[in-house]
Amino acid sequence: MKPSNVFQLEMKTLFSGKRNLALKIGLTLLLGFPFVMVAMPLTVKVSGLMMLVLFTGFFGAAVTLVRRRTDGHTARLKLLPVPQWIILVDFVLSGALIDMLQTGIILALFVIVNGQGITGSTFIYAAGLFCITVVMLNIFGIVLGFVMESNPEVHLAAALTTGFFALISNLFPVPARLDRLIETISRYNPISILSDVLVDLGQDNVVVHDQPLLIPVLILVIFTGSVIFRSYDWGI
Amino acid sequence: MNNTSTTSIRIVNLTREYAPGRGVTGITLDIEPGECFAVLGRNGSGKSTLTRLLLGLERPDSGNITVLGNNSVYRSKDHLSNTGATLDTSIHWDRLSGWDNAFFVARNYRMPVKEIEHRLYNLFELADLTANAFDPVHTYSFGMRRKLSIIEALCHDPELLVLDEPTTGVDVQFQIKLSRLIKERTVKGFTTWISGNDPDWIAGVASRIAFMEFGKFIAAGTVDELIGEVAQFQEICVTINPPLEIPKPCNVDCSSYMQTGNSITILVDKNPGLVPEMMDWIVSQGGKINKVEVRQSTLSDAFLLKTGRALEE
Repeated sequence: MKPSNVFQLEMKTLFSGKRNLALKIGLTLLLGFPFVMVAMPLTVKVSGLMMLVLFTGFFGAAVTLVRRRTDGHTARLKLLPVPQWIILVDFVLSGALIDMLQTGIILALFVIVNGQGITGSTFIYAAGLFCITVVMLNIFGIVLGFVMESNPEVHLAAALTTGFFALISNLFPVPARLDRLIETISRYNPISILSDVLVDLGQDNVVVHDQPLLIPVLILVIFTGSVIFRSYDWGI
Repeated sequence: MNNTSTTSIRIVNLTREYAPGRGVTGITLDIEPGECFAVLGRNGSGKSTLTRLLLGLERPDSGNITVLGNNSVYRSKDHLSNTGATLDTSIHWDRLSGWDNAFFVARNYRMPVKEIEHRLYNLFELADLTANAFDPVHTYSFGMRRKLSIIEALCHDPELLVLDEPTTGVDVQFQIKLSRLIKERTVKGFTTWISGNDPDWIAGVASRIAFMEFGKFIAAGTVDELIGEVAQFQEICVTINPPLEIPKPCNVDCSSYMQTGNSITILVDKNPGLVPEMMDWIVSQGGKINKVEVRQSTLSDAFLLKTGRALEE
Protein backbone atom coordinates (compact mmCIF):
# COMPACT_ATOMS: atom_id res chain seq x y z
CA MET A 1 0.00 0.00 0.00
CA LYS A 2 1.35 3.40 -0.96
CA PRO A 3 0.18 6.10 1.44
CA SER A 4 -2.23 8.57 -0.10
CA ASN A 5 -3.40 10.38 3.04
CA VAL A 6 -2.10 11.18 6.52
CA PHE A 7 -3.96 8.26 8.11
CA GLN A 8 -2.31 5.77 5.75
CA LEU A 9 1.01 7.52 6.19
CA GLU A 10 0.86 7.19 9.98
CA MET A 11 -0.24 3.55 9.84
CA LYS A 12 2.43 2.63 7.32
CA THR A 13 5.04 4.41 9.42
CA LEU A 14 3.97 2.38 12.46
CA PHE A 15 4.01 -0.96 10.68
CA SER A 16 7.23 -0.29 8.75
CA GLY A 17 9.25 -0.23 11.97
CA LYS A 18 8.82 -3.67 13.53
CA ARG A 19 11.07 -2.81 16.46
CA ASN A 20 9.07 0.32 17.22
CA LEU A 21 5.79 -1.57 16.95
CA ALA A 22 7.04 -4.34 19.21
CA LEU A 23 8.27 -1.76 21.74
CA LYS A 24 5.00 0.15 21.67
CA ILE A 25 2.85 -2.92 22.28
CA GLY A 26 5.40 -4.75 24.44
CA LEU A 27 5.91 -1.86 26.84
CA THR A 28 2.18 -1.34 27.30
CA LEU A 29 1.74 -5.06 27.93
CA LEU A 30 4.58 -5.02 30.41
CA LEU A 31 3.11 -2.03 32.25
CA GLY A 32 -0.41 -3.40 32.24
CA PHE A 33 0.38 -7.02 33.02
CA PRO A 34 0.54 -6.66 36.84
CA PHE A 35 -2.95 -5.14 36.84
CA VAL A 36 -4.25 -8.21 35.00
CA MET A 37 -2.43 -10.99 36.79
CA VAL A 38 -1.47 -9.84 40.30
CA ALA A 39 -4.02 -10.37 43.05
CA MET A 40 -5.29 -6.98 44.18
CA PRO A 41 -8.68 -5.34 44.62
CA LEU A 42 -10.62 -5.11 41.37
CA THR A 43 -11.00 -1.32 41.61
CA VAL A 44 -7.24 -0.92 41.91
CA LYS A 45 -6.66 -3.17 38.90
CA VAL A 46 -9.14 -1.17 36.80
CA SER A 47 -7.77 2.18 37.96
CA GLY A 48 -4.27 1.08 36.98
CA LEU A 49 -5.43 -0.03 33.57
CA MET A 50 -7.41 3.16 33.03
CA MET A 51 -4.31 5.22 33.89
CA LEU A 52 -2.53 3.27 31.18
CA VAL A 53 -5.31 4.14 28.72
CA LEU A 54 -5.16 7.80 29.80
CA PHE A 55 -1.40 8.03 29.41
CA THR A 56 -1.32 6.22 26.08
CA GLY A 57 -4.23 8.17 24.62
CA PHE A 58 -4.00 11.69 25.98
CA PHE A 59 -0.33 12.01 26.86
CA GLY A 60 0.71 10.15 23.70
CA ALA A 61 -1.39 12.32 21.37
CA ALA A 62 -0.21 15.60 22.92
CA VAL A 63 3.48 14.67 22.88
CA THR A 64 3.26 13.23 19.36
CA LEU A 65 1.71 16.39 17.95
CA VAL A 66 4.40 18.61 19.46
CA ARG A 67 7.08 16.24 18.15
CA ARG A 68 5.53 16.39 14.69
CA ARG A 69 5.60 20.16 14.87
CA THR A 70 9.20 20.40 16.07
CA ASP A 71 10.25 17.84 13.43
CA GLY A 72 8.64 20.08 10.78
CA HIS A 73 6.08 17.47 9.72
CA THR A 74 3.09 19.72 10.37
CA ALA A 75 4.68 22.53 8.32
CA ARG A 76 5.28 20.05 5.50
CA LEU A 77 1.65 18.93 5.64
CA LYS A 78 0.46 22.54 5.62
CA LEU A 79 2.03 22.92 2.17
CA LEU A 80 -0.34 20.33 0.74
CA PRO A 81 -3.72 21.39 -0.65
CA VAL A 82 -5.53 19.37 2.00
CA PRO A 83 -7.87 21.08 4.50
CA GLN A 84 -6.33 21.14 7.95
CA TRP A 85 -9.37 19.53 9.54
CA ILE A 86 -8.89 16.42 7.39
CA ILE A 87 -5.28 16.18 8.56
CA LEU A 88 -6.45 16.51 12.17
CA VAL A 89 -9.16 13.86 11.71
CA ASP A 90 -6.50 11.56 10.24
CA PHE A 91 -4.24 12.23 13.23
CA VAL A 92 -7.08 11.41 15.64
CA LEU A 93 -8.08 8.28 13.70
CA SER A 94 -4.57 6.92 13.38
CA GLY A 95 -3.65 7.88 16.95
CA ALA A 96 -6.81 6.25 18.34
CA LEU A 97 -6.30 3.10 16.27
CA ILE A 98 -2.70 2.74 17.41
CA ASP A 99 -3.73 3.35 21.05
CA MET A 100 -6.52 0.77 20.74
CA LEU A 101 -4.00 -1.71 19.46
CA GLN A 102 -1.69 -0.96 22.40
CA THR A 103 -4.17 -0.84 25.25
CA GLY A 104 -6.90 -2.98 23.70
CA ILE A 105 -4.76 -6.10 24.04
CA ILE A 106 -4.19 -5.55 27.75
CA LEU A 107 -7.87 -4.69 28.37
CA ALA A 108 -8.92 -7.81 26.46
CA LEU A 109 -6.53 -9.83 28.63
CA PHE A 110 -8.06 -8.27 31.72
CA VAL A 111 -11.57 -9.23 30.56
CA ILE A 112 -10.45 -12.77 29.71
CA VAL A 113 -8.71 -13.26 33.06
CA ASN A 114 -11.05 -11.34 35.37
CA GLY A 115 -14.33 -10.96 33.42
CA GLN A 116 -17.38 -12.92 34.41
CA GLY A 117 -20.62 -13.51 32.55
CA ILE A 118 -19.66 -11.57 29.41
CA THR A 119 -22.42 -11.41 26.84
CA GLY A 120 -22.44 -9.98 23.31
CA SER A 121 -24.12 -6.79 24.45
CA THR A 122 -21.72 -6.21 27.36
CA PHE A 123 -18.80 -6.76 25.01
CA ILE A 124 -20.15 -4.25 22.47
CA TYR A 125 -20.96 -1.81 25.27
CA ALA A 126 -17.45 -2.02 26.69
CA ALA A 127 -15.83 -1.88 23.23
CA GLY A 128 -17.89 1.18 22.28
CA LEU A 129 -16.99 2.93 25.52
CA PHE A 130 -13.35 2.07 25.01
CA CYS A 131 -13.53 3.52 21.48
CA ILE A 132 -15.20 6.76 22.70
CA THR A 133 -12.64 7.08 25.49
CA VAL A 134 -9.61 6.63 23.24
CA VAL A 135 -10.94 8.96 20.52
CA MET A 136 -11.83 11.61 23.10
CA LEU A 137 -8.41 11.36 24.74
CA ASN A 138 -6.74 11.73 21.36
CA ILE A 139 -8.80 14.82 20.56
CA PHE A 140 -7.94 16.40 23.93
CA GLY A 141 -4.31 15.41 23.46
CA ILE A 142 -4.17 17.10 20.08
CA VAL A 143 -5.79 20.23 21.51
CA LEU A 144 -3.14 20.33 24.24
CA GLY A 145 -0.42 19.68 21.65
CA PHE A 146 -1.65 22.71 19.71
CA VAL A 147 -1.40 24.99 22.71
CA MET A 148 2.01 23.81 23.95
CA GLU A 149 5.11 24.92 22.12
CA SER A 150 7.99 22.77 23.28
CA ASN A 151 8.58 19.20 24.38
CA PRO A 152 9.27 19.94 28.09
CA GLU A 153 6.17 22.15 28.18
CA VAL A 154 3.90 19.47 26.72
CA HIS A 155 5.33 16.73 28.94
CA LEU A 156 4.61 18.74 32.08
CA ALA A 157 1.17 19.92 30.94
CA ALA A 158 0.14 16.46 29.71
CA ALA A 159 1.26 14.78 32.93
CA LEU A 160 -0.66 17.28 35.04
CA THR A 161 -3.76 17.06 32.84
CA THR A 162 -3.63 13.26 32.88
CA GLY A 163 -3.68 13.43 36.67
CA PHE A 164 -6.61 15.83 36.52
CA PHE A 165 -8.50 13.49 34.17
CA ALA A 166 -7.84 10.59 36.53
CA LEU A 167 -9.21 12.67 39.38
CA ILE A 168 -12.43 13.73 37.63
CA SER A 169 -12.91 10.19 36.35
CA ASN A 170 -13.17 8.85 39.86
CA LEU A 171 -10.19 6.55 39.37
CA PHE A 172 -8.82 7.47 42.78
CA PRO A 173 -10.41 8.38 46.11
CA VAL A 174 -11.12 12.12 46.29
CA PRO A 175 -11.62 14.40 49.31
CA ALA A 176 -15.12 14.07 50.71
CA ARG A 177 -16.12 17.64 49.85
CA LEU A 178 -15.42 16.94 46.15
CA ASP A 179 -17.38 13.71 46.16
CA ARG A 180 -20.63 15.09 44.81
CA LEU A 181 -18.92 17.15 42.08
CA ILE A 182 -16.82 14.19 40.89
CA GLU A 183 -19.86 11.96 41.06
CA THR A 184 -21.79 14.33 38.75
CA ILE A 185 -18.92 14.64 36.26
CA SER A 186 -18.37 10.86 36.28
CA ARG A 187 -21.92 10.27 35.11
CA TYR A 188 -21.10 11.86 31.72
CA ASN A 189 -17.45 10.91 31.56
CA PRO A 190 -16.69 7.90 29.33
CA ILE A 191 -13.47 7.20 31.23
CA SER A 192 -15.29 6.64 34.51
CA ILE A 193 -18.18 4.83 32.80
CA LEU A 194 -15.69 2.45 31.16
CA SER A 195 -13.90 2.01 34.44
CA ASP A 196 -17.23 1.16 36.17
CA VAL A 197 -18.10 -1.29 33.38
CA LEU A 198 -14.74 -3.05 33.79
CA VAL A 199 -15.26 -3.32 37.55
CA ASP A 200 -18.77 -4.62 36.96
CA LEU A 201 -17.46 -7.12 34.42
CA GLY A 202 -15.15 -8.49 37.08
CA GLN A 203 -18.12 -8.88 39.41
CA ASP A 204 -20.61 -10.21 36.83
CA ASN A 205 -22.67 -7.12 37.49
CA VAL A 206 -23.02 -5.35 34.12
CA VAL A 207 -26.50 -4.26 33.23
CA VAL A 208 -26.82 -2.95 29.69
CA HIS A 209 -30.04 -1.25 28.75
CA ASP A 210 -31.04 -0.69 25.13
CA GLN A 211 -30.56 3.07 25.16
CA PRO A 212 -26.99 3.26 26.47
CA LEU A 213 -25.98 0.52 24.05
CA LEU A 214 -27.04 2.60 21.07
CA ILE A 215 -24.40 5.32 21.48
CA PRO A 216 -21.39 2.96 21.83
CA VAL A 217 -22.62 0.95 18.84
CA LEU A 218 -22.98 4.13 16.79
CA ILE A 219 -19.51 5.27 17.81
CA LEU A 220 -18.05 1.86 16.91
CA VAL A 221 -19.77 1.95 13.51
CA ILE A 222 -18.64 5.53 12.78
CA PHE A 223 -15.07 4.83 13.91
CA THR A 224 -14.77 1.55 11.98
CA GLY A 225 -16.38 3.15 8.92
CA SER A 226 -13.97 6.10 9.07
CA VAL A 227 -10.97 3.78 9.42
CA ILE A 228 -12.10 1.70 6.43
CA PHE A 229 -12.82 4.85 4.41
CA ARG A 230 -9.40 6.38 5.11
CA SER A 231 -7.56 3.07 4.59
CA TYR A 232 -8.54 2.89 0.97
CA ASP A 233 -7.32 5.14 -1.85
CA TRP A 234 -10.60 6.06 -3.52
CA GLY A 235 -8.84 7.67 -6.44
CA ILE A 236 -10.70 10.95 -5.89
CA MET B 1 2.83 48.06 -10.87
CA ASN B 2 0.95 45.49 -12.86
CA ASN B 3 -2.47 44.17 -12.09
CA THR B 4 -2.55 41.30 -9.55
CA SER B 5 -4.15 38.92 -12.04
CA THR B 6 -1.11 39.13 -14.33
CA THR B 7 1.51 38.78 -11.61
CA SER B 8 2.48 35.46 -10.08
CA ILE B 9 3.58 36.97 -6.81
CA ARG B 10 2.82 40.43 -5.48
CA ILE B 11 4.34 41.50 -2.20
CA VAL B 12 3.29 44.87 -0.82
CA ASN B 13 5.09 46.51 2.08
CA LEU B 14 5.51 43.22 3.89
CA THR B 15 6.79 43.17 7.44
CA ARG B 16 7.28 40.27 9.82
CA GLU B 17 9.64 40.92 12.70
CA TYR B 18 10.54 38.44 15.43
CA ALA B 19 12.78 40.96 17.10
CA PRO B 20 14.31 44.25 15.92
CA GLY B 21 16.44 43.39 12.87
CA ARG B 22 15.16 39.79 12.71
CA GLY B 23 12.63 38.85 10.04
CA VAL B 24 11.62 40.94 7.03
CA THR B 25 10.81 44.64 6.83
CA GLY B 26 8.98 46.65 4.18
CA ILE B 27 9.40 44.28 1.23
CA THR B 28 7.59 45.27 -1.97
CA LEU B 29 7.91 43.18 -5.10
CA ASP B 30 6.13 41.97 -8.23
CA ILE B 31 7.06 38.72 -9.97
CA GLU B 32 5.66 37.99 -13.40
CA PRO B 33 4.73 34.53 -14.73
CA GLY B 34 7.71 32.83 -16.33
CA GLU B 35 10.21 34.60 -14.11
CA CYS B 36 12.81 32.85 -12.03
CA PHE B 37 13.31 35.15 -9.10
CA ALA B 38 16.06 34.54 -6.59
CA VAL B 39 16.72 36.03 -3.19
CA LEU B 40 20.34 35.96 -2.13
CA GLY B 41 21.33 36.66 1.42
CA ARG B 42 23.56 35.64 4.24
CA ASN B 43 22.37 33.26 6.94
CA GLY B 44 19.75 34.98 9.06
CA SER B 45 19.11 37.74 6.53
CA GLY B 46 15.39 36.90 6.35
CA LYS B 47 15.24 34.76 3.17
CA SER B 48 13.60 31.76 4.78
CA THR B 49 11.13 33.95 6.68
CA LEU B 50 10.14 35.57 3.40
CA THR B 51 9.76 32.15 1.78
CA ARG B 52 7.62 30.92 4.67
CA LEU B 53 5.46 34.03 4.40
CA LEU B 54 5.08 33.36 0.69
CA LEU B 55 3.89 29.83 1.45
CA GLY B 56 1.47 31.03 4.11
CA LEU B 57 3.33 29.23 6.89
CA GLU B 58 3.65 32.50 8.75
CA ARG B 59 1.42 35.54 9.03
CA PRO B 60 2.79 38.98 8.25
CA ASP B 61 2.69 41.72 10.87
CA SER B 62 1.66 44.12 8.13
CA GLY B 63 1.43 44.30 4.36
CA ASN B 64 0.28 41.43 2.20
CA ILE B 65 1.40 38.77 -0.23
CA THR B 66 -0.68 37.68 -3.18
CA VAL B 67 0.39 34.39 -4.72
CA LEU B 68 -1.22 33.32 -8.00
CA GLY B 69 -4.06 35.74 -7.25
CA ASN B 70 -4.63 34.44 -3.71
CA ASN B 71 -3.75 36.05 -0.40
CA SER B 72 -1.06 33.74 0.99
CA VAL B 73 -2.34 34.09 4.57
CA TYR B 74 -5.43 32.03 3.78
CA ARG B 75 -3.41 29.23 2.11
CA SER B 76 -6.26 28.68 -0.33
CA LYS B 77 -6.59 25.41 -2.18
CA ASP B 78 -5.85 27.19 -5.46
CA HIS B 79 -2.63 28.65 -4.03
CA LEU B 80 -1.41 25.36 -2.55
CA SER B 81 -2.50 23.17 -5.47
CA ASN B 82 -0.43 25.20 -7.90
CA THR B 83 2.62 25.59 -5.71
CA GLY B 84 5.43 23.12 -5.12
CA ALA B 85 7.83 23.93 -2.34
CA THR B 86 10.88 22.80 -0.44
CA LEU B 87 11.61 24.34 2.92
CA ASP B 88 15.11 25.08 4.22
CA THR B 89 15.16 21.69 5.96
CA SER B 90 14.27 18.38 4.34
CA ILE B 91 11.25 16.94 6.10
CA HIS B 92 10.25 13.34 5.47
CA TRP B 93 8.72 10.33 7.16
CA ASP B 94 12.04 8.62 7.75
CA ARG B 95 10.86 5.05 8.18
CA LEU B 96 9.10 5.11 4.81
CA SER B 97 10.88 4.85 1.49
CA GLY B 98 11.70 7.87 -0.63
CA TRP B 99 9.17 6.65 -3.19
CA ASP B 100 6.41 6.38 -0.54
CA ASN B 101 7.15 9.90 0.67
CA ALA B 102 7.04 11.34 -2.83
CA PHE B 103 3.95 9.28 -3.72
CA PHE B 104 2.14 10.61 -0.65
CA VAL B 105 2.90 14.21 -1.61
CA ALA B 106 1.95 13.70 -5.27
CA ARG B 107 -1.27 11.88 -4.40
CA ASN B 108 -2.36 14.79 -2.24
CA TYR B 109 -2.19 16.99 -5.34
CA ARG B 110 -4.91 14.69 -6.70
CA MET B 111 -2.71 13.31 -9.46
CA PRO B 112 -3.81 10.00 -10.98
CA VAL B 113 -1.70 7.05 -9.79
CA LYS B 114 -0.38 6.19 -13.29
CA GLU B 115 0.70 9.77 -13.88
CA ILE B 116 2.36 9.92 -10.46
CA GLU B 117 4.36 6.78 -11.16
CA HIS B 118 5.49 8.04 -14.56
CA ARG B 119 6.44 11.46 -13.25
CA LEU B 120 8.18 10.14 -10.15
CA TYR B 121 10.14 7.63 -12.20
CA ASN B 122 11.51 10.46 -14.35
CA LEU B 123 12.27 12.68 -11.38
CA PHE B 124 14.03 9.93 -9.40
CA GLU B 125 16.04 9.23 -12.56
CA LEU B 126 16.92 12.91 -12.88
CA ALA B 127 18.03 13.03 -9.26
CA ASP B 128 19.99 9.80 -9.63
CA LEU B 129 17.94 8.27 -6.82
CA THR B 130 16.32 5.38 -8.71
CA ALA B 131 18.51 2.78 -7.03
CA ASN B 132 17.53 4.11 -3.58
CA ALA B 133 13.90 4.89 -4.32
CA PHE B 134 12.56 2.04 -2.19
CA ASP B 135 15.05 2.38 0.67
CA PRO B 136 13.85 3.96 3.91
CA VAL B 137 14.63 7.67 4.03
CA HIS B 138 16.61 7.25 7.27
CA THR B 139 19.27 5.50 5.18
CA TYR B 140 19.57 8.55 2.87
CA SER B 141 22.43 11.03 3.05
CA PHE B 142 21.79 14.75 3.59
CA GLY B 143 22.06 15.47 -0.15
CA MET B 144 19.74 12.59 -1.07
CA ARG B 145 17.12 13.94 1.34
CA ARG B 146 17.48 17.36 -0.24
CA LYS B 147 16.98 15.85 -3.69
CA LEU B 148 13.90 14.01 -2.47
CA SER B 149 12.46 17.30 -1.19
CA ILE B 150 13.00 18.84 -4.61
CA ILE B 151 11.37 15.81 -6.29
CA GLU B 152 8.35 16.28 -4.02
CA ALA B 153 8.16 19.96 -4.94
CA LEU B 154 8.32 19.16 -8.66
CA CYS B 155 6.08 16.08 -8.71
CA HIS B 156 2.93 17.88 -9.87
CA ASP B 157 4.70 20.26 -12.26
CA PRO B 158 3.50 23.30 -10.31
CA GLU B 159 2.81 26.72 -11.73
CA LEU B 160 4.92 28.18 -8.93
CA LEU B 161 8.00 26.42 -7.64
CA VAL B 162 9.44 27.66 -4.35
CA LEU B 163 12.90 26.39 -3.46
CA ASP B 164 14.59 27.35 -0.21
CA GLU B 165 18.33 26.62 -0.35
CA PRO B 166 17.97 23.98 -3.08
CA THR B 167 21.66 23.42 -3.73
CA THR B 168 22.72 22.86 -0.13
CA GLY B 169 24.42 19.48 0.04
CA VAL B 170 23.49 18.27 -3.45
CA ASP B 171 26.03 17.20 -6.06
CA VAL B 172 27.08 19.35 -9.00
CA GLN B 173 25.46 16.98 -11.51
CA PHE B 174 22.08 17.49 -9.90
CA GLN B 175 22.64 21.25 -9.65
CA ILE B 176 23.19 21.37 -13.41
CA LYS B 177 20.12 19.21 -14.13
CA LEU B 178 18.02 21.32 -11.77
CA SER B 179 19.08 24.56 -13.40
CA ARG B 180 18.18 23.08 -16.83
CA LEU B 181 14.80 22.02 -15.52
CA ILE B 182 14.14 25.48 -14.05
CA LYS B 183 15.04 27.10 -17.37
CA GLU B 184 12.61 24.76 -19.16
CA ARG B 185 9.90 25.77 -16.69
CA THR B 186 10.67 29.43 -17.33
CA VAL B 187 10.23 28.89 -21.08
CA LYS B 188 6.84 27.26 -20.37
CA GLY B 189 5.79 30.39 -18.45
CA PHE B 190 6.03 28.83 -14.99
CA THR B 191 7.38 30.88 -12.13
CA THR B 192 10.21 29.88 -9.81
CA TRP B 193 11.20 31.44 -6.50
CA ILE B 194 14.61 30.54 -5.13
CA SER B 195 16.15 31.66 -1.90
CA GLY B 196 19.71 30.71 -1.24
CA ASN B 197 23.28 31.74 -0.69
CA ASP B 198 24.98 30.18 -3.70
CA PRO B 199 25.56 33.14 -6.05
CA ASP B 200 27.30 31.12 -8.76
CA TRP B 201 24.44 28.66 -9.22
CA ILE B 202 21.78 31.34 -8.86
CA ALA B 203 23.49 33.53 -11.47
CA GLY B 204 23.01 30.68 -13.93
CA VAL B 205 19.28 30.20 -13.40
CA ALA B 206 17.65 33.38 -12.14
CA SER B 207 16.18 35.97 -14.44
CA ARG B 208 16.02 38.48 -11.60
CA ILE B 209 17.80 38.57 -8.28
CA ALA B 210 17.39 40.50 -5.05
CA PHE B 211 20.06 40.82 -2.39
CA MET B 212 18.69 40.65 1.10
CA GLU B 213 20.30 41.97 4.26
CA PHE B 214 18.75 42.56 7.70
CA GLY B 215 15.30 41.66 6.34
CA LYS B 216 15.39 44.21 3.52
CA PHE B 217 16.09 44.12 -0.20
CA ILE B 218 19.23 46.17 -0.65
CA ALA B 219 19.54 45.67 -4.42
CA ALA B 220 17.55 43.98 -7.15
CA GLY B 221 17.91 43.45 -10.87
CA THR B 222 19.05 41.01 -13.52
CA VAL B 223 22.41 39.28 -13.15
CA ASP B 224 23.94 41.64 -15.73
CA GLU B 225 22.53 44.71 -14.02
CA LEU B 226 23.85 43.66 -10.63
CA ILE B 227 27.27 42.69 -11.94
CA GLY B 228 27.31 45.87 -14.06
CA GLU B 229 27.10 47.92 -10.89
CA VAL B 230 30.37 46.43 -9.67
CA ALA B 231 32.03 46.08 -13.07
CA GLN B 232 34.37 48.90 -12.17
CA PHE B 233 36.03 46.51 -9.75
CA GLN B 234 38.45 43.67 -10.32
CA GLU B 235 39.58 40.96 -7.97
CA ILE B 236 43.29 40.27 -7.67
CA CYS B 237 44.26 36.93 -6.15
CA VAL B 238 47.91 36.69 -5.17
CA THR B 239 49.70 33.63 -3.82
CA ILE B 240 52.85 34.43 -1.88
CA ASN B 241 55.63 32.34 -0.49
CA PRO B 242 56.46 32.12 2.41
CA PRO B 243 53.09 32.96 4.02
CA LEU B 244 54.06 36.31 5.53
CA GLU B 245 51.39 38.61 6.88
CA ILE B 246 51.14 41.52 4.43
CA PRO B 247 49.26 44.57 5.76
CA LYS B 248 46.59 46.32 3.67
CA PRO B 249 48.28 48.91 1.44
CA CYS B 250 47.77 52.46 2.61
CA ASN B 251 48.51 54.13 -0.72
CA VAL B 252 45.99 52.11 -2.78
CA ASP B 253 42.24 52.41 -2.25
CA CYS B 254 41.04 48.78 -1.87
CA SER B 255 37.35 48.00 -1.67
CA SER B 256 38.29 44.92 0.24
CA TYR B 257 41.46 43.16 1.34
CA MET B 258 41.69 39.69 2.83
CA GLN B 259 44.61 37.38 3.58
CA THR B 260 44.23 33.70 4.38
CA GLY B 261 47.58 31.97 4.87
CA ASN B 262 49.62 32.55 1.73
CA SER B 263 46.68 33.72 -0.34
CA ILE B 264 45.69 37.39 -0.61
CA THR B 265 42.44 38.53 -2.24
CA ILE B 266 42.08 42.20 -3.07
CA LEU B 267 39.14 44.00 -4.64
CA VAL B 268 40.20 47.22 -6.35
CA ASP B 269 39.00 49.64 -9.02
CA LYS B 270 39.31 48.36 -12.59
CA ASN B 271 42.48 50.27 -13.36
CA PRO B 272 45.34 48.42 -15.12
CA GLY B 273 47.92 50.47 -13.21
CA LEU B 274 46.71 49.18 -9.87
CA VAL B 275 47.86 45.60 -10.41
CA PRO B 276 51.59 46.41 -10.62
CA GLU B 277 51.14 48.87 -7.77
CA MET B 278 49.72 46.09 -5.59
CA MET B 279 52.54 43.73 -6.59
CA ASP B 280 55.13 46.38 -5.69
CA TRP B 281 53.50 46.78 -2.29
CA ILE B 282 53.57 43.06 -1.57
CA VAL B 283 57.21 42.79 -2.65
CA SER B 284 58.10 45.85 -0.56
CA GLN B 285 56.61 44.09 2.48
CA GLY B 286 58.90 41.11 1.92
CA GLY B 287 56.42 38.85 0.10
CA LYS B 288 57.62 36.64 -2.75
CA ILE B 289 54.91 36.39 -5.40
CA ASN B 290 54.16 32.87 -6.65
CA LYS B 291 51.03 33.42 -8.67
CA VAL B 292 48.80 36.35 -9.65
CA GLU B 293 45.26 35.99 -10.97
CA VAL B 294 43.02 38.89 -12.02
CA ARG B 295 39.36 37.99 -12.03
CA GLN B 296 36.41 39.90 -13.49
CA SER B 297 33.44 40.73 -11.30
CA THR B 298 30.86 38.07 -10.60
CA LEU B 299 27.54 37.98 -8.81
CA SER B 300 29.42 36.99 -5.67
CA ASP B 301 31.41 40.22 -5.87
CA ALA B 302 28.25 42.21 -6.43
CA PHE B 303 26.67 40.47 -3.47
CA LEU B 304 29.64 41.01 -1.20
CA LEU B 305 29.87 44.66 -2.09
CA LYS B 306 26.16 45.34 -1.90
CA THR B 307 25.73 43.66 1.44
CA GLY B 308 28.44 45.92 2.73
CA ARG B 309 30.18 42.89 4.16
CA ALA B 310 33.32 43.04 2.08
CA LEU B 311 35.91 40.33 2.00
CA GLU B 312 37.85 41.46 5.02
CA GLU B 313 34.89 40.60 7.19
